[in-house]
Amino acid sequence: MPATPDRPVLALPSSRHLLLAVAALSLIGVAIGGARAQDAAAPSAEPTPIYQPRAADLEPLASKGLMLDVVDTGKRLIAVGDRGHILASIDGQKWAQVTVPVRSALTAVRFVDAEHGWAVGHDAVVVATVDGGKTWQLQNFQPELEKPLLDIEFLDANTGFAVGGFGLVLRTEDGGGNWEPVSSPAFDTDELNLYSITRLADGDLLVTGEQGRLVLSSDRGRTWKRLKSPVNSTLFGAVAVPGGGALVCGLRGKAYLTRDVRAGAWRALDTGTSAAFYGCTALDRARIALVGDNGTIVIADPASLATRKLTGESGTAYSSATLWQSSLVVSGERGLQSLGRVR
Amino acid sequence: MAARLPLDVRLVRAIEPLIFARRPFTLALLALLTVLLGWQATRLTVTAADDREHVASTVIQDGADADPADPADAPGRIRIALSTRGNDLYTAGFLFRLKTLTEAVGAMPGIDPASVRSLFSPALRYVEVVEGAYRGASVIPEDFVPTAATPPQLAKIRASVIDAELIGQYVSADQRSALIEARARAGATAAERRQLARRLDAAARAVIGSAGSDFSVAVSGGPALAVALEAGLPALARPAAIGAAVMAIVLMTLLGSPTLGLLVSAGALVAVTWQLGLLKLVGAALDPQAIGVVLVTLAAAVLQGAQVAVGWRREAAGGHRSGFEASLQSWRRLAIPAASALLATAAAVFALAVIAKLPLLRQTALAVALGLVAVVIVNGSLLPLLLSRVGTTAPARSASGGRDLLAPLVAIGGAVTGWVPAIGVLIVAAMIFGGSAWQSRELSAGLAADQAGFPSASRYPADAAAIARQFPRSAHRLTVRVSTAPDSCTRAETLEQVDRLAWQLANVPGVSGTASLPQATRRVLTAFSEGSPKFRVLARNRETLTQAIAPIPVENRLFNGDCSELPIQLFLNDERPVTLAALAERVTAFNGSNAAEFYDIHKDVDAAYCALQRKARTDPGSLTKAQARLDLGLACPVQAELAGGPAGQRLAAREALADVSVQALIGLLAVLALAVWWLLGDAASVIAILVPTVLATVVMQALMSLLGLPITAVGLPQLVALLGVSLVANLLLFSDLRQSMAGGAAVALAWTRSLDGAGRAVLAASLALMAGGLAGLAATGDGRQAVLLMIAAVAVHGLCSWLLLPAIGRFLLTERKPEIVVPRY
Repeated sequence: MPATPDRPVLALPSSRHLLLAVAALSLIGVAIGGARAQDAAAPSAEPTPIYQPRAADLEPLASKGLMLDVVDTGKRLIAVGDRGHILASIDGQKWAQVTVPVRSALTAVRFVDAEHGWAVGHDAVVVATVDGGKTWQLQNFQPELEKPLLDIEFLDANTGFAVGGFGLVLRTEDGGGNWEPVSSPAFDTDELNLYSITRLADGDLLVTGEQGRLVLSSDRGRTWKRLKSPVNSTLFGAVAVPGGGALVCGLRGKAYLTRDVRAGAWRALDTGTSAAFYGCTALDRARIALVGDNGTIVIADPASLATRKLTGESGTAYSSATLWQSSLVVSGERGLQSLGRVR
Repeated sequence: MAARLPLDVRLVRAIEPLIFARRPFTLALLALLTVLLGWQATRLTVTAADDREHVASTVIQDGADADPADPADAPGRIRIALSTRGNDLYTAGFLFRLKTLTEAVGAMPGIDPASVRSLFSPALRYVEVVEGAYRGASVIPEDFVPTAATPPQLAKIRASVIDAELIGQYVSADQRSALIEARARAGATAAERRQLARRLDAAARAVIGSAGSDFSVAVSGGPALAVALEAGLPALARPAAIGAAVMAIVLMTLLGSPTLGLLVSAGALVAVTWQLGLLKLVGAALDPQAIGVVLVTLAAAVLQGAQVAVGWRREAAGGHRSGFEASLQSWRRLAIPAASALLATAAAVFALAVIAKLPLLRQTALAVALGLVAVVIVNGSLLPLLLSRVGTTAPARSASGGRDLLAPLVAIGGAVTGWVPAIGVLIVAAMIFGGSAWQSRELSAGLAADQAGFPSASRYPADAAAIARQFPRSAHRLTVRVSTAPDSCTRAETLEQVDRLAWQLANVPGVSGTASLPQATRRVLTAFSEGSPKFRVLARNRETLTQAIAPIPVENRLFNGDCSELPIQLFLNDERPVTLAALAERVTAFNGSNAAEFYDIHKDVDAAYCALQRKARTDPGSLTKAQARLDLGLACPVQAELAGGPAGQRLAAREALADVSVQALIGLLAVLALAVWWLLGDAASVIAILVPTVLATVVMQALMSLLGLPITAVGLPQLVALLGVSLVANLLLFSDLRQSMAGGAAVALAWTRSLDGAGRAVLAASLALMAGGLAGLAATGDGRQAVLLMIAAVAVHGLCSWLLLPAIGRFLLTERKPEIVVPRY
């Protein structure tokens, strides 16, 4: 309690004097408390966590704000972004914001089928839906960690992993009912940011992160092994290519492809840009979209490694992309944009 | 003991000897006064205020309406846009000129060098991601030499401009124009600011020099506006002279007497002279855009002067042998009613000058009020005295003989007194009233600065519009003040509240963007994390936040010295009042909901505690001793309020104008209703006289709304004055009508007589004013809004009186006793 009255000095009190003094102090305390209550209502001493989950504001321009991931659920597009925003669209043009129980920035979203999906974000938030994205329930909220979750991947409706800042990895075996931290020397030693987790065609899980970090699990996430990386700068994303291979993308326009992640043998792609790629997504078997800074979009052919650069619209950073009804839909600093057909 | 005489009779008896007892002396005195006031009038400063948008209002908080450190907020601000006709501005040639001009502006005498901003200002910084780190630097490096610029350097500047989010602020959306902002040094006089505007304009033109076909410059801002407006004044002299001459000729023709026409015209010019002289005597100046006040005085003087002339002629024709007798009788009959209504109007307009917050409105209202007082004095003393020296024979005869041009109009007016035409007129009037009232709901309040009033060759309107269009983030900017505890720049919880408010305000229709400390911090934090958009969030860690705000220059005005103010800058698409209302509503709602959430978490504080904390910050002297002993250092929710910025200034000005215009019109109508009641003593007269005036006023407002013309600071006092002038005409017409009917005449005959008397004067004056106005317009070849509106107003008021008065009289007047007491002694 901040209001502290000037106290009389009590020198060697007798017990009677002490009692009187205590009584007097109590009265003064009551009086001060009363005065405080009169001037400013009496505060409660109960500590309350400063950060509590609060429902996201619904605003008309949500789709124009910072949006960080967009996925095709099979029935609709679901996008997540700043301030706990989750939006749905059936045409990639008009977006409807849905109610979400948190305001933390959501960084990634995955669906295992058209109805069951999860989104992760800052404050180690995990929210889940069982109705295709109409409603969302909070599964995890740990602001005290001061670590964000940056990507999520599910092997099936029950088993999933979320990766994030400072080596944070969470695992669930019950569809998100419980999220437990995963410990492994591959993540724990240097607490680097882990930006993506991707399920490869052979079922392996590939994690990318800061300083070119590549971590692989070939046993459904029980053990993790650090791979030799083709680069020592950050890799923001990865995309599976047929046969257990992957394409990874990252800072300064770097992108590498291997036909077999376990074996390594990464080959650099000539992307023609030095802009960072913050996300890469398979549009179909023959095209992978790499998106990033300054509205950069590069389309790569995983078979021939040929690339071609598209011109984005915004000039600001994109963070993810997906194909919807033949149009490329991107998320980024200027929100969600449908950029039309991609050759 | 004899019964006490009515006040108007006592007034007539008191004033009459002052004017007529020693006519040569009074005439000489008035002539001397005219010469003195004429001399004063020549010394009147016609100067455009360059702080015309400054206002304190209830929405924009008092004292927070201007940020003296912000070049965009200061009254002496100037904006210069340099544009290229090439593909974009990232060329050696353009940047060389921009740098040269920026340096020339900074070195110019009279400028505040610290206020100069352009792409070349080191304070404009961006943050970029480099391998493993981030870097903050000026958009254009200090060692950049435009003439030696390489393509990579130019490409880098383009990228930095985008990164620093300068598009719409210092670079236009098409990236072909760049803005230089500056303001005059503190304490510069208006003349010095104008001199500075001229120098800046000349410097800008010199910089583009012979390459003028590839580059262009535009200059806007208060001092440049003042220079442009004042440049148009000399061009007004010729059309004003032509208009006055045409008005006098038409008046001479329609009054059927060159002498009467000349005297009325001369009296009107004397009234204008007195107005301008009085204005100088009270220490005021006249704004070029308020030059229309002269027209109001002219209209009032001609309308009332024509009444005096026609009254004089009627008395002369009625058997008074000398001009003096005719003048005296006419004066006794007309002086008090006309003077009462005009002085009541002047009082209402003067009240407007007192209560108005806009300096330009105050200045214009004062000029209008003084003009009306001048009309009362000149037409109440000088004109009757001059008429008293005119022989009765010539003017009286010429009125009865020759072709009477007004006879057809008088006849049409007489026809309205039938039951059926009267009902028809009232129904049509009711429909017009309804439609006009509906339409006038759309009438907006605007600032005079938005309106015409520039010489036709002036570049200013196009320059100002182009700058506002190209740099909306600079022109249409509104500041939201967010107050919090000191040292809050690095308090995550505070930043999150400000960030949430900024986002909510960004979603208000009409807002194109926002800038705030949390947004800038998020941008830097993104750079900390290698540019990843997924880290574009506020950190919770105070140390991280301390590092993040380090590259954000204090010149960006996103926080104050002790971090107790974290303003949000709003960039608006336009400046519609509805936007301000929506923003004010959003801010209020945020304050409520945010505080409730805050107190829900922080049980150690509450609304009373935080109110006390604010009081301790803003007014520590008002705390009681017990309150002063409390520890008021606990965190409280942020408190937001709309504060200022250029758009805020204008929005507030419009708000203030809209409020005061309703008050002014209702106030004047109330005062005039009382004046008519006092003069004529019955409700029927009040209704009959006020209804045509009210209808004409509403029709004028609807017309302005249809034409997209707002009520302006200079237009409002004129509109109010015209209402009063119109009411004087109605008063005289209706009292004539009532008197005739009381004498036993049928309505038709009474109205014809009324039109033949007072009506003839109204018609002649109205037609003369319209003809003079049109002639003036034709002479300038420039569509001057004030003159056109004046012509329209005279026509609308005239039509309403001409048709509505007899129609209402048809229903309200029966056999009544005359109630205007004409003293005879």
